[in-house]
Amino acid sequence: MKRTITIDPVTRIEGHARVEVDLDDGSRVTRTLFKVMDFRGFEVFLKGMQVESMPTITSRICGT
Amino acid sequence: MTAKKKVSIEWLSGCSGCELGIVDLHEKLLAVLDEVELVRVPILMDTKDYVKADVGIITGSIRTEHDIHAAQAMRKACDAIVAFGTCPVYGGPHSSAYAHTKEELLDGAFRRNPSTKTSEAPQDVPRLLDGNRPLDSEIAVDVYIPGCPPGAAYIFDGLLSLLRGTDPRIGPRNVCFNCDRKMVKSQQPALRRSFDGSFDPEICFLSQGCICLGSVTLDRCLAPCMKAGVPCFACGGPSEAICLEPQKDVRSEVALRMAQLTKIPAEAVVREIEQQAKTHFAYAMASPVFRQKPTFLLKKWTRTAEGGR
Repeated sequence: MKRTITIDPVTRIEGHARVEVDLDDGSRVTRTLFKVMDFRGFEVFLKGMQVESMPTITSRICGT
Repeated sequence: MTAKKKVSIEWLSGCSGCELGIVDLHEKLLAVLDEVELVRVPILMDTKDYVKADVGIITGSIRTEHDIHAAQAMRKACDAIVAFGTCPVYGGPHSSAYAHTKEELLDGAFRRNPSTKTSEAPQDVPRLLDGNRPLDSEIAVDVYIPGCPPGAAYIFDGLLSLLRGTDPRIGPRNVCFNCDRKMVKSQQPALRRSFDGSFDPEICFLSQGCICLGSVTLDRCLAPCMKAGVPCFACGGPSEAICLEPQKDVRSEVALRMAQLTKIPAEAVVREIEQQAKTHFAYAMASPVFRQKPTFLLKKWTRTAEGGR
């Protein structure tokens, strides 16, 4: 029987994520998705900031 | 011995640096753990439920629909809520998104990002809210500990006073209080960026013509940056004076001090901070502390600086 195993939220990692594992009739994995659940927009809002602030603010993308 | 207090931790939109800040307590963490039982810590434990607790520590800001759900669930499950870190208190570094619409953010990251192959933003994820907001825009908060992350000494004092019901020793000092550099009068004629030449490590950055926000920033850090040769960039959020006095602003306060210490006219400092508003207000733009100031025109400053985008 085809089924999907969902782990939501994934714990003991940095950040928010969901994992979905699709299995076929023989319980073989056919697809695994790792979905990131949060978004803050660093790609965009860093534009226009002073270059000397980059080491300090980009280190806040992930603090671990 | 009284029963251990139950402590639950939840993170909203943030970086988990505050969880690391707690680990920075090192051996002192053992003293905290004598008095508390951790019942939910996503970075350490697999507990997914919002279990009942005496104290709920929340890091990160309100950025997605899930953040609202999580904040409300924590409020229901916990007797006291601590806004822990600059994100839940003032919005944090992603407050800089205030200068952009939600669609601009998604365009830049997913639809028109030259370094990825995606053409659409993900659909089956929590919806992004229109703006980034502090925690108390959504739920009542009992204790605020800003800092990015808060320094270990402040975490220790704050948590133990909360657990024991005693008054915290944390004071409303600004970052200068713990900075060793000396403020001196100088003949410095013009502003300098922190990479313009060399700076005397004993002398205040303001005296040397470099914008440092220590005097307008609450000390929750013990001033490590200035000791490492980096001017304060206000990650701890605004000082008490900026928070409480409507006529005081980061621009005017820094400009006043620099004009007194150097030969740089105050107007030049105000102009520079406005032109680089995205940098200088990055960590607390989402906060009403700034937005309620009558002269605060951040979106206008940012658009002008970016060529009328």
